[in-house]
Amino acid sequence: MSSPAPHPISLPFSDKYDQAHAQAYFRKHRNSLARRLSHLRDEQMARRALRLADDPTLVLDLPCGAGRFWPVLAEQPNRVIIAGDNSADMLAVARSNHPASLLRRVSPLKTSAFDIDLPERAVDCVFCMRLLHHIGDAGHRLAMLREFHRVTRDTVILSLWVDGNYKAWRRARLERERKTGAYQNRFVIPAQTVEQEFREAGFDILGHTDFLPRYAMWRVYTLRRSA
Amino acid sequence: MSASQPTPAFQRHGLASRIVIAFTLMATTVAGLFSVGVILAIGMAEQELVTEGMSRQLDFVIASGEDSASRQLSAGLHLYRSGAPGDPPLPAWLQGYGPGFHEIIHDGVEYETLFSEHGPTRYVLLLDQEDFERHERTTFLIVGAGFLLSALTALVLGLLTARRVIAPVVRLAGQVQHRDQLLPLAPPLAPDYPADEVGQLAAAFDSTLGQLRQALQRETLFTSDVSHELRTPLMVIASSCELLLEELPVGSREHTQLLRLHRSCGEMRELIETFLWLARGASGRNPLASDTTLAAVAEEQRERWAQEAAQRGLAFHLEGAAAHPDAPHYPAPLLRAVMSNLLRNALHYTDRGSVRLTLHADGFDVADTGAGIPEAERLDIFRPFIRGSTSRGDGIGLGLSLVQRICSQQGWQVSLEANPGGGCLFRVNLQPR
Repeated sequence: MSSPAPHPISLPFSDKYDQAHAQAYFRKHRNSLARRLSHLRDEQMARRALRLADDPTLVLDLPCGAGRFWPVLAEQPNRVIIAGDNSADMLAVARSNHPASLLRRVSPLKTSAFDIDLPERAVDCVFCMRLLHHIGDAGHRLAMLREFHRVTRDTVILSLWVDGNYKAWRRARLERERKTGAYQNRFVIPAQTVEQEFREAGFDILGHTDFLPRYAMWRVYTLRRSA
Repeated sequence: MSASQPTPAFQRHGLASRIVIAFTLMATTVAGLFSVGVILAIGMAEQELVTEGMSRQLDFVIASGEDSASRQLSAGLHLYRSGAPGDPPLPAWLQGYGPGFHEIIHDGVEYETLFSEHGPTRYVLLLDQEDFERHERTTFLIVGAGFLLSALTALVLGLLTARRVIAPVVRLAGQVQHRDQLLPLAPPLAPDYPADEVGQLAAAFDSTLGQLRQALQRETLFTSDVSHELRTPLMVIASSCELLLEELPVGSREHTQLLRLHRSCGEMRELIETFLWLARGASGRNPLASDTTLAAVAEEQRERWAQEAAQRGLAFHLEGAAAHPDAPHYPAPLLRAVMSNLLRNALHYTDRGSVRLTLHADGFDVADTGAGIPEAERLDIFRPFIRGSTSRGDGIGLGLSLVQRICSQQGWQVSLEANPGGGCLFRVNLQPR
């Protein structure tokens, strides 16, 4: 029996989401045309990943942020969403920004992704958008993946930044030019490395979708618990 | 699936591949039969047409006049005549045939040949089969292509159908796995599927899982209710005992009996804790604190049981490691429950001789010199409500099952062997591997 780590992992970026920040975050994805287009593509990738995961019916959206993906998740009429986030403010903002008909199917849960407050195999799918690229430490990533493995009954959908594309190459070059050891809170993880980590945590890779193949860094993976 | 029993070949394929195989087999059989039929029919029809045409042509040639000596009538059609005045004799390779149709190969060319006799005159009509063969080849090619195409179409259709038919079943099977652990707020399965056979199956699963969940909930509620409701009266008994103990003179018979009552009360409270802990299930979220050592519990149990053993005329031995400062710690109520149940069991089933409690670094043994348990019954003995064939007394057979459940939850190992000196030997390993 694995007992949770004595000191749950807490990363500095998770403290910044207060009420104002959360509202700003919600508006961020709907102000410019480019953002809207990118959001549409995000939704499309999420839809594809959900289909690949056999349309799970009990989904833990973690971190749910401003509930950006709730409308997509709610497209399947028989789906119940557990909205998990480390920030109570974020959860409150998310709930204030969506219609009551949708909120009926969303249960909020304030929890850390490293120590999810749910029993084993409690949900069909852990839906984790835009979190993994904040986690640069392989040990932390593995701890989180193991926690996902514990909580999910079947699948995990997650998005992250991978290498092997123009943006990642440019980012690496800029970093070399700057040569600063400044604090970073977003990381590109080599696809090979992260896929090895998925397997190590006990997952099979069902498939992945790139935001814009060979150009953009975003990639959505769909994983299933190994038999 | 067990490896010892080989599965029949037809069961080794999944439903999907069986559908594909059936589709393809059926299509190839039907298309094959049709192809053979078409080829036979075309062949026969063409043969019929050729012979009929040749007969008519020859009749026409003969009727049209006597000047029709040997010549080429049209491309691929030759006429030979012999017997009439001035006619050369027939070439050697055309001689020796009777009237009627013959197939003759000359210089690598196949001819359909019609021999006919009109009095002394012999007519031979030769049709070069080259064209006919070419036609036949084309026909074969077309029929063969049609056959392959239909087999291929069947394969594709089979794959598509299989995927369409099987996908919901596969998805449902995936959704049902470990579903009892899913949060209760999970939506039912049935609305995900159309109201066909798969939908009915999903609805059946929903209702079964609902019943299962209810039963589990009832059990958990029952145990926690019972445990909770028993606590209060036990507290009353315990506090009354304490009050009485202070009033009675130490050493009197009443005092001793009251002391036993008080101790039993404490044990009962601990047992309730254990039951509650077991009822909460393997969630493992609130493990009991490891607060005691093996030696401490053993000493306590010796105090408890030695007197009863003496009353029954049995010797009670406690052997093994003395208290060690850095000995591993275990949850007291659980270890106590395991040890006392095993000891009670041993004392209960032993008429003469001894009960021996031996401590090791990683566990303990309880050995008795009782009747022992036949080997066939040794595995069953840990199931609830089962007692050996030599059962006796008022025990209701739950003790050893409780031992087994505590051990499996704690990751301990309990086993039963025959005691070399007769009787039973229960071995508990607190640190397997």
